[in-house]
Amino acid sequence: MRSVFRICRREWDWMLRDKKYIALVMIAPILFVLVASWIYSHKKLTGLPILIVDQDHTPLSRDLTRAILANEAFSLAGYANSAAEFSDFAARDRARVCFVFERGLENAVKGGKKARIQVLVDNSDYLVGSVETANVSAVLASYSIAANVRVIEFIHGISKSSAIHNAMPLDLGQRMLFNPAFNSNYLNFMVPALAMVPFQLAALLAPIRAGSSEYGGRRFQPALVENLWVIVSGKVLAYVVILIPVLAAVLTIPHGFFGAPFLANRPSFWIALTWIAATMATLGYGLSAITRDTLKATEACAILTLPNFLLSGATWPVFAMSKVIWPLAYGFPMNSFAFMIKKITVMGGSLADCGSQIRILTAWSIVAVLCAWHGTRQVLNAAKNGAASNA
Amino acid sequence: MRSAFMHLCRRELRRILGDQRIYVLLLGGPFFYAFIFGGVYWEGRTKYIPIVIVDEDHSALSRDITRALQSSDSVSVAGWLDSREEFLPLLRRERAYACVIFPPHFERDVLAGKGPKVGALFDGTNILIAGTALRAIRDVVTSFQVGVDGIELAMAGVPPAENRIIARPLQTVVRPLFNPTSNYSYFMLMCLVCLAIQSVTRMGCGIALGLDGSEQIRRDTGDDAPPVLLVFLSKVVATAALMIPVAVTAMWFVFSLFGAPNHGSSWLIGLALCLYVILQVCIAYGYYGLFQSPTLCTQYHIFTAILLSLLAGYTWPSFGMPDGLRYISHSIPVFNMISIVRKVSLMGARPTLLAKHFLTLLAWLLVAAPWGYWAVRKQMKIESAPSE
Repeated sequence: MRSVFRICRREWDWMLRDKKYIALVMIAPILFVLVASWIYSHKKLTGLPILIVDQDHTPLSRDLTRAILANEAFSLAGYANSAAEFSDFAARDRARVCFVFERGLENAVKGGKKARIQVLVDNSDYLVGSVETANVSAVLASYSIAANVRVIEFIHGISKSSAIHNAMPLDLGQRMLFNPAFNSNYLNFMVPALAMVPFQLAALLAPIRAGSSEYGGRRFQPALVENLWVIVSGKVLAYVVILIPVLAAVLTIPHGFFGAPFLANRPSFWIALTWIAATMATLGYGLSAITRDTLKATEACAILTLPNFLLSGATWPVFAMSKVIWPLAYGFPMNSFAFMIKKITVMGGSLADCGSQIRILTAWSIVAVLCAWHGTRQVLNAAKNGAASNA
Repeated sequence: MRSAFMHLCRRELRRILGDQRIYVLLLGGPFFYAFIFGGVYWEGRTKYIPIVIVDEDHSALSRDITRALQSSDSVSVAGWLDSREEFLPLLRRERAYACVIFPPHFERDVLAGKGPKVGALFDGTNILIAGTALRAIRDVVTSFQVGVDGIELAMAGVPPAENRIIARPLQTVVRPLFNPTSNYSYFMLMCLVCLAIQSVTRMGCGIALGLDGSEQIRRDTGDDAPPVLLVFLSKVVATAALMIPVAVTAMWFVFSLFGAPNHGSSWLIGLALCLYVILQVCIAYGYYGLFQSPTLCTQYHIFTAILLSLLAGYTWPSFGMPDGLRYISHSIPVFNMISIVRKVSLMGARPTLLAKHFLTLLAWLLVAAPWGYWAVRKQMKIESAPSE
């Protein structure tokens, strides 16, 4: 055990010499989460610029315009004479939605005829387009129900209570679990997933020089200790101890500063956090020792981590991806990590709910330990050969 | 002068193509990412989301609605549960993402005009999944609603021909423009390729500059002190000559291989890509000048890649960001590049509509070129490349 601590102390002495490196590994993840949380701090999309084309010029069309503008989701970008002008407005980013009240709208409603409101939505950005469509439906559906009631009362003299039943007999009572504000709160959904990016990067990149530097000026002293497992444990422990507070901060900042949910089962949270941090730190050290080149190891991490957020299924679900991609998506570590942390911190689950994630994490832990073991053996051999040639 | 410049260009090409740490990233990166992203969004939209049914009514109507849900391609019925409490464990194990509940006496209440509710529970932790499932379930329930409207109105004495019109007097016709099928991959892929080009160019060029030094130049060219401007220009020209075809091919994959439409001019996209790549090369050198270490510089780019993708405004729109971030978002090159590609390909935008984006990219070039030159001059003062 004392040998493990000696290795650990040696690692800290060396690590703390490079301030830029410490800043990048310790401060960058926290800055990342703060900026990502700040981006989503409005929590919902408001003030979508809209264009109104009122060809009816009646109290009903003006009433509808007022009802639409009273919704905070929309802000008026202007009025136009025809729907054809909308394309230009959209291309100049001046309007995202266009409401068209065609001539004869009020007459049609009063006469119980088919009355249509055309809504043009800029769907070139699908995510925004779907939010726009949801807001449009929400505003106009309530108006539609009111109009239903009025028309049924007006034409057929049915009582108001009966008219309401007739207007809306089948209702969908929806309940969003874990994110009650749902469409109006992206922070709850996006930021916890995004926090996993700096989490994984910091854990992987912190020890990325720990192995390769042993081949350079910082020759490993075989006299210090020759037991492979002691070296691996000492090296990984040095980084895990430093990483845990940083990574815990990364995962709790969205909750502490921006109000994202955090329903963690405490023991499960700390076990998962420590396990993931130790696995990634071991993998980072192993890659570093095997490649013998910090730059190559960093590039390997870049290849592993850059597409990882998309493949993690945090935004686009894995079952909707091409089947060819499934092994990559399920196999890459971030998928399991992100789901494990999500289940514990957002869904209020525990490790008992993370069966498949635990299996994948175990497999990655084995890979990481094998990498670290192989890399350390290379380091020791190089050190011995160096000593032999010096002698 | 010209031959010296050509000599330096050839040297830079040799350096890039001779070092696997650079060429793998610069030449392989965009294709690797294009294929990965293409695979991720291959299906275009979220389909067959597993849902479960809790049928406490066991009536013809509840079975009818379940059959309608089964025939939807957005959701797939993964099973039936006895109670809603069983849904949560299934959700945590990713076996089902939504649960539709038919309460007891559902059909009887519908026929009695009491307006019962179809219950639905969703996993709100993923808005894409929950949103798609919600839309699919709502579509099915709404279509039944219209049918029930008709029956009830007929029972209330309204003539059958007028039933449907009365039941829905205000019809909203939503027309999604520029992406009528709401294909997710159409706009996502081009954005991600722009981001991949940015990331690999910045990383690769930072490394390429970091591994160079005045001693290497002297050794390679035999010239004791070539003008720094010439060295800088040769580096930019040689790297851009390699990267522009790579970037254009990666973008071409988006349209030809992955089926995204292009309603505008390919030349405009090509022109924007050239400007974008040159700009990224200069910015990459500039960043290297700040860090003075290929590893640190690469690590910085890895950290910022996802942040820049968020600021690019293609997932969360820039007008939804706080004011300060909105200005940053509008001013970064990747936002303007993505806007150009999106507007040209999906909206068929003309050059006049893209002026502000091109002007922003040009303004960036004016800033990035001196910044890159400063970094190269700083690097030329170093005798040999630092060992990492």
